Amino acid sequence: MRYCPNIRRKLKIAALVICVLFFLSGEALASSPDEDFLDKLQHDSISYFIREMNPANGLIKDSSRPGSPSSSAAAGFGLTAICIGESRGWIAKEEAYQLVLKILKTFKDDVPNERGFFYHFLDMRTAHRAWNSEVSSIDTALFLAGALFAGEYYKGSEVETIARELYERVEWPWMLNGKSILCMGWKPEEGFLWYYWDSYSEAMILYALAIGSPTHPIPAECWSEWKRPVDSYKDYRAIYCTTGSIFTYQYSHAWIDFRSLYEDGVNYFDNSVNAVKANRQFCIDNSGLYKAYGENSWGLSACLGPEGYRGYGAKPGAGFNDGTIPPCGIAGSMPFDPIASLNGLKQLYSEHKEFLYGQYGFKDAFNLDKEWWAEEYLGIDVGITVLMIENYRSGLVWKKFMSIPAVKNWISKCFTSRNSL
Amino acid sequence: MTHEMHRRTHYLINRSFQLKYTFAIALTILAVMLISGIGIYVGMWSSIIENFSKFKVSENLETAKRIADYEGARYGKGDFRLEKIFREAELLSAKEQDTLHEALKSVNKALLPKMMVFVVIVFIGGIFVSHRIAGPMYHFEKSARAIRDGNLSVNFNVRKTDEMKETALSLEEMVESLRRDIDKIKKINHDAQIDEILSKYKT
Repeated sequence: MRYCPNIRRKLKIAALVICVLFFLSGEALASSPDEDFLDKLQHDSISYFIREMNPANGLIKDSSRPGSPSSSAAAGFGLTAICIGESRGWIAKEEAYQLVLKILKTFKDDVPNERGFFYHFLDMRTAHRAWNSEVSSIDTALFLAGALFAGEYYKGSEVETIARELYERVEWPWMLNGKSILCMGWKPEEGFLWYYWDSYSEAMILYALAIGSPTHPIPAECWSEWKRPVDSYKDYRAIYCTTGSIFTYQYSHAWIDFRSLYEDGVNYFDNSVNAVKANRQFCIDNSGLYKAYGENSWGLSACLGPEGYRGYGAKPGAGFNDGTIPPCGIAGSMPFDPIASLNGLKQLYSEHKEFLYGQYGFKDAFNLDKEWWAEEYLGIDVGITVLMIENYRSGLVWKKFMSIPAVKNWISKCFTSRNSL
Repeated sequence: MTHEMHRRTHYLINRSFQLKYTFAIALTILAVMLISGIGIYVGMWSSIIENFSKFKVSENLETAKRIADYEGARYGKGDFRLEKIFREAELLSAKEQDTLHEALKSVNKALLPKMMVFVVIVFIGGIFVSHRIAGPMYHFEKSARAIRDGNLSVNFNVRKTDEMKETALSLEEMVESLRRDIDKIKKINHDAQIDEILSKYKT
């Protein structure tokens, strides 16, 4: 009898353990198909960066279209995607390292640069400027984000050394062109472009790297110089990008974890959550106009369309739309609205996989009204798919990128933490 | 030896030697021409053909259009007339491709018969050139047989345009020396047996 309390306690513990195990097994069973689906989508998408790479120099095609040049931004997404592939065991450790190193060496030694900035498009074979493309500030930033992430992933290696070297040689103040906002680009024939990153957009990553630079930083005040227009669509209020394209709420977030960063009470992660929900609501509300739009088919973003590449978007903003849906718009929203994103991706896959899904995952876009299906994949669209799914699943990119000293430097200059509010 | 004796009425004096010699030259030249032709074709024409192929031109136009589209989407300066312009450029490039294709066809058409004519000219030239060697050789052979038969009055004259002039001169000197020595021996000899041998030589 004197052992009764112990027995009761043991029974209670056993019952608790059984309940926990039952719950966990139930969860595991419930989430397993979703995990398998995300595994497949990420795995297939990552293979774009391996198969569409020139094995001689590591340059990655802008698009899977034959004859496509390489793009600096695609290389940035590729660098990150290859590390993700390695972390998930889909690419052998040594192979992944060598691929990353090859890309970085080519950008260090062969790709022409203007004060550290790279051209938007590069010839796949020679690594020289393709066509009359511009020296692009945002594409340089997207490349460097991938390079710095890879440097952090392979900390202490040659990859980190080259990534730091590429970052530290960029003369960011030059791209200000005497103003307090960054210019979009420069051409040898014309000088600086007429366009500036003067309003909320995907350029937050550009400003972050420019302000955080240990060698050639721009003043921290530049961060507050770009406009932050606010508008609402239905219940969703957001600082918006004029194009209304969903990628503008995603690209910076692919590397930067804004969840704990506050700027005068504004949290850009929450802002993207609202913008994503508004984009989805806009598609639901216009489902009568366009066949493809609906609760599981949204994510209006710049992508290929029946008439070529267009800056599609929703509200808030003056989004142009014609019924074209890019699956990457949904995949890139995974951290902001996981349930809606996963449901959307699964529905697109189950309903349209015959035309919409191929060797590199989801093709770029489709338009049911015009019975048009993209035949190609775009590197940056495949890239945002891989990175944002990974951030949703493990937070790997965020964790590594946020520990880079330059990023910490930018945060210390421009943000307050939630605790300090 | 009269002037008429030097005139050659046919050029295949030593048929097997001259044909062998001429074929060797013609085949060597043909081989050089083919190798050069293939080299030029692979190195230059194939590059031109590839870069001006319908596929490549279409790819390039698509890239140009795509870059313009990207700029339009990024800078908000979309110009939908571009679509029309690029389609017209594609049509124009199709016309240019036809022109290039025609140019290549006419070059090939013109080159092939010319190559054949060139080989025939080389062959005929080979016969002409070779007979300048074969002629003296034939003449030397005939003279050598005559000397064997005791005729020391032969000569080794060759024509101005013939080869082997130095050889002819040496042979001429050799026969002259032999003729002088035989004459001398004839004058001092009184042996009937040697007389009989010497009688064979007509100096």
